Parts: sequence; C-alpha cells; structure tokens
Amino acid sequence: MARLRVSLLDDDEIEMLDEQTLTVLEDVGVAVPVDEALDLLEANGATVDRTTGIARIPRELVRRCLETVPKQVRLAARDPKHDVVLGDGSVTFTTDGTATYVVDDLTGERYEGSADYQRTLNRLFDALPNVDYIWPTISARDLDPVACDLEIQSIAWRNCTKHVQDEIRTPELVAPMLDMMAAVAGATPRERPVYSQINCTLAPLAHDPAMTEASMALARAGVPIAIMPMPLMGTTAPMSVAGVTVQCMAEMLSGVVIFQLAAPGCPLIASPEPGSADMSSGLYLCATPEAGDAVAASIVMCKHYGLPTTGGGFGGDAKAPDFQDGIEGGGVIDVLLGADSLVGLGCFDGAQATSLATIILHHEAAGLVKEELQRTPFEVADSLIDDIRAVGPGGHYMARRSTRAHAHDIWKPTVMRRGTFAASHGRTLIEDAVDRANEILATHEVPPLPEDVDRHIDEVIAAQRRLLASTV
Amino acid sequence: MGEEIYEQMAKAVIDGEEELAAELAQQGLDMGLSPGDILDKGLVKGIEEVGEKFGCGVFFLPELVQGALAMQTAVAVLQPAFDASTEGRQTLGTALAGTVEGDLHEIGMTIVCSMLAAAGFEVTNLGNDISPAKFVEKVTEMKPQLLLLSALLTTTTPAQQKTIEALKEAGIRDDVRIMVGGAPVTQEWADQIGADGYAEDAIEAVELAKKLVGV
Repeated sequence: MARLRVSLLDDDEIEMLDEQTLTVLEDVGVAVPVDEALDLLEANGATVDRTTGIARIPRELVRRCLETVPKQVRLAARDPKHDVVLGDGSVTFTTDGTATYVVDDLTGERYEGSADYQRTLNRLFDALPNVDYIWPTISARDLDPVACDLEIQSIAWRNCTKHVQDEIRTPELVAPMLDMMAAVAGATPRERPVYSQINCTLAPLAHDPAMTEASMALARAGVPIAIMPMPLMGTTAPMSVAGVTVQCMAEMLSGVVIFQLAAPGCPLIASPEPGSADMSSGLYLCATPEAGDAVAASIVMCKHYGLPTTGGGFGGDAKAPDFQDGIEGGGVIDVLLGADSLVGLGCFDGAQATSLATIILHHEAAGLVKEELQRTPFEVADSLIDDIRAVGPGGHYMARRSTRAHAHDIWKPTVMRRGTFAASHGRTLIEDAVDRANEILATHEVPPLPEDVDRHIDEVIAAQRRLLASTV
Repeated sequence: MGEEIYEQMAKAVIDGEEELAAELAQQGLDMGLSPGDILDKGLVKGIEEVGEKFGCGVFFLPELVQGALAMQTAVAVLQPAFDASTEGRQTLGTALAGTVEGDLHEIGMTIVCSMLAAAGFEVTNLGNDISPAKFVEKVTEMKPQLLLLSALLTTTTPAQQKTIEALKEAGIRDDVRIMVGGAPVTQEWADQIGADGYAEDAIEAVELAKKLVGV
C-alpha cells in the first residue's frame, strides 16, 4: 500500500544514535530486577550484577534479538473483520489513556471516570470506523482496583468488537487473562490474540519487575507486547532531544532483548513515547515541540531496527478540545516518518481527561490523516488526459463520466464545517461533535458476547477476586 | 568576615553548588559560628531566594532541586553541631514522604519534596514502594507534622488507603496530617480514604502543606 514518506535523520545521525544507544546498554546497563530475566540475560552474554539487578547487554545480543522480532503483528479482534496488522503498510489509530477524568464539553464540569462511562466510550469506539483498535481510555474509579485490570478488559470486550490493548501489571493476572482471551476469541491467544499488553519501562533505564514478569509470560503465550518507554526530558531523561531519544531507545531495545530471550520470535510493538516535563512545575507534557522531535527520532530508529512501530497523535496538553488541542494534535509527522499506527485519540490534558467532543473531533482528524497519507497520492495513469482533450479550452468537467465516477471519492467530514457561514451560524463545532456522539450512542448496538463466554468471563474474574482476597 | 561567609553560603545554595555549600558550612563551624546562624543567616537566605525566583518563574526545577540538594548537604554538615547544642533548627514544619507500596514511580514525589524543602520545610523522602508498616515505623520514629503519600497507578492508590488504615491501627493517625497525590488521585479519593488534603501538582502541594501546618 502506498504511503507518503519524509525523512528526518540522515544515515550518519542514525548511526550515531545507534552507537550511543548500544553503548548505554553495554556500559550503563538497565535494571531488570527479575531473576528469570537476569538468568536469561546472563546465559546469553550479558554482564549481570545480582545485587543491583543491573544487566549490561552486549551489542551482539541486541542485534541477534532484533533479528527474531516479526516484521508484522496481527492484533486480532473479537470480530475478525476488525483485525489489524501493524507493519503491512496501512495506517491505523487507537484511542488514548488512561484518563482519570471525564469532562462535560458543554458545561466544562470535570468528574471521575466510572465503569459505566467506560462502557459508553467502548460502544462509541466500536461505532467509529477510524478507531481501529482500542485502549480502554478511562480509569474506572468504582471498580475494585485489585481485579480491575481484568474487569477493564471484560468491559472492553463486552462493549466493543475491536482489539483491546492495555496493561496488566502483575504475573498472577496472566493466567486468568489468557483464559478470558481464549473464551472471547474462540481460539488460543497465539492463534488470535484479541488483547495485547502495554509494557511501560521505568525511566531512567529500569524495568518494572512485576509487569516484566507478566510480559514474559504473555509473550510465551503469543500475546503481542507493546514496549512503551516514557522518559521525560529534564526529569527522568537528559535535557536534550538526542539524549532522551538515546535513553528511550536503550529502554526499548532492552525490552526487545528480554522478551525475545523469553520467547524467541514473539510479536513486539515499539511504542516510543518520550515526553517532556514542564520545568516550572514538573507536570507531564506530551505535546511540546521537543517531545515531538524525540518521538519522531525514536520512530525513525524503531523503523531502522525493523520493528512494528506506533507514534503519538492528537492527544495533547490542552485543557479542552479547542484551538490548542487542534494544533498540538500533530500525529501526521509520525506517520510520514513510518509509524504504522498512532495512539492518542480521544484525550487531552496530558491524557488526564477525555470527552465526547474530543473523541469525535480526533476521530475526524484520524480520517483526514488516513485519507491524506494512505491513498496513492499521484498516479500518472489517473491524469485523465482524454478528458482534458475532450473538454479542451473553456467548458467544464461536470458532464464527464470520470468526474461522476470519482466525485464520491473526495473525503467528506462528518462534523467539521464546510458549506456556508450561515449554515453553521449559532452553533459551535463542540456542540455538533457532542450531538454526533450522542446520535451514535443512541443507535449503535454492540452484539453481546455469547452467553457461555459472558458467564465464563464472570467466573474467571470472580475466581481471581476470591484468590486475591485469600492472599491479602 | 561573618557577613561575607553568610553571603557565600547563600550564593552556593542559589547556584546549586552542593560541595561548596557543605565546605562553607564546615568553614563556618570552624570559625566558631553557631549552626543556627549558619542556617538562618546563610543557607536559609539562599533557599528563600531560590524559592522566590522559582515562584516568579525566573528559576525552573533544576535550580530548585539543586538548591535544595545544596541546602540538604550543608545541613547534614551542621547536624552534629545541632545535636551537640541546645539550639534548635527552625523550619516551617517537618514532612515525611514516600511513594506507596507496589509503586515504583518517584519523580513526582522527588519534585514535591524539593519544593517543600525550598519553601522551608524539613523533608525526608523515603523513596518508592514503601509499605504501610514502614510508614508507621517512620512516623513513630520521626514524628513528622506531615505525611505525603504518592501513587501513580490506579492499582496502587489502594495502598494509600491501607497506609492510612495502618496508621489508625497503630493509634498514630491523628498525630500527623496526611496529604495524597499522583496522577490517578482525585479530591474525591482523598476524601474517601480520610486524607487531610490533596494537591493536583507540586505548587499546590506546597500551599496545602503550609495550610495544614498553619503557616
């Protein structure tokens, strides 16, 4: 499939970043406080300090592990028609998360997320064609946090037929998760992974032990793992674009090594999300130009290593879906640099908040990006020279069969304004977007899971809750 | 000579010169200056200026954190002299902080602690993954006025509640004012678990801390 492309780094710059990343892994190392991972690393040539849990990883091992990463990853969906393949040349989008708050677009009131609101959002995501797979997006405060990792996925599958990507943070949740996946897919997780796990590294240069253990077990079962370093310039990473990129890639490649050693050939997704901190308050910022440059450079490096890669798009630091949100949501460059997919649709305020209008407007922008970047931009065969000859100087093209044939190919927005000034007068785009969301929610129905699957999921969660209660 | 060295101490803190601040503190003691004077006339003047400049946007986090570190290092030099004398160290208040059990994220707490230190609090940061039992032990031992509990993950916020429950069981809940924070934490959650306050960012946290200790 044809894609527009631009380049950011020249060969020398790529080589420099590669060399420095590998030097960090060899000389500084990464903290991996998981015995099983340290055993694997040591057996494969890494220098391991058992006291600190730090592994220094030789470049040969990194290169070897990169070779076994599949170039494409299938993200299977509850409904197979929504399956997504990262790395096949298509451009796909997923939602953002995980927001603590929901904002009412019309009143500005902010309130805590809930399981009920998560159901609503998942139903909306199911209906929106440019949401190709989903993150649960909202943190449901009313769920029991002990089992909420499982409950969140169950809500997602019950209310959306697309692939679900999220975190599970502890190894004891792996078995019930695999059980639920198999029930939803009607196949093994390896055959149809209807869920992929996000593994966030801990900047600087460390891996969360419980989450890493969970990821290793999931990788062995064939579940795709999205490795997501989020170093912040100036607080948890060096105060430069090149510095944060090197650290981001060192965290990324150390994850590649750990998971490829645990399960050679396991599907991995590179999801570099370096950001910056507001240096006057320490608050997380995701849409600064500097962070954008670091994400862009990281995407180039991930593609250089042949990894299926995601970039960031749409969700920014604005406090509402407003002008700032519009200009910050520049995921286009990430796709132009080769990202296979963009995350970030539907949130604002540094992913702390979501709203219906934000989802609808970001979704509209995703449609625009897909249309712009995924279609073949220029085909000589489409020059329609015969029509030019037939119409000649003067005249018009509206009577041509070719015009009739292609007129409906032109991208059309669903809420963004065209038409006359008067047609939109008196109403805001936000109001229209909220109305659009409510129209969809009033009519869109998600087919329920088969009764036996639904019951099985409840049983798995109940069993896990009992188990956790007995161990507290 | 005394005035000059106090100015140098203040400048060392403002410039974030950790080693120099410690050397000057030692030099002051060697000259026979009291630890209280070194602190109040030198180091505190420096950290106050750091705090003021941070407050009006002239300084950013690196200046604040480095100023707080310089102050902390110099105070460590003075501590034996304080211990040996009857002179007490004046602060806005004392705070104990940590990221709760199961959570390994600490940058937010580090920033809050630096800002509290710059504002004049005596702060002890226990780090991350701190169990309720450890918090109970440290509150009992240090008797801070404030306890700050941080959590970045939705799944670790219950540890904030467990910590407060553990303090209640130990009979020391009412001996300390508790502040909670972190990305998934809200005012509603703070109210629900019986914390005394919640702040959305580090700047609000300092204002809340001052309010809770009555300054």
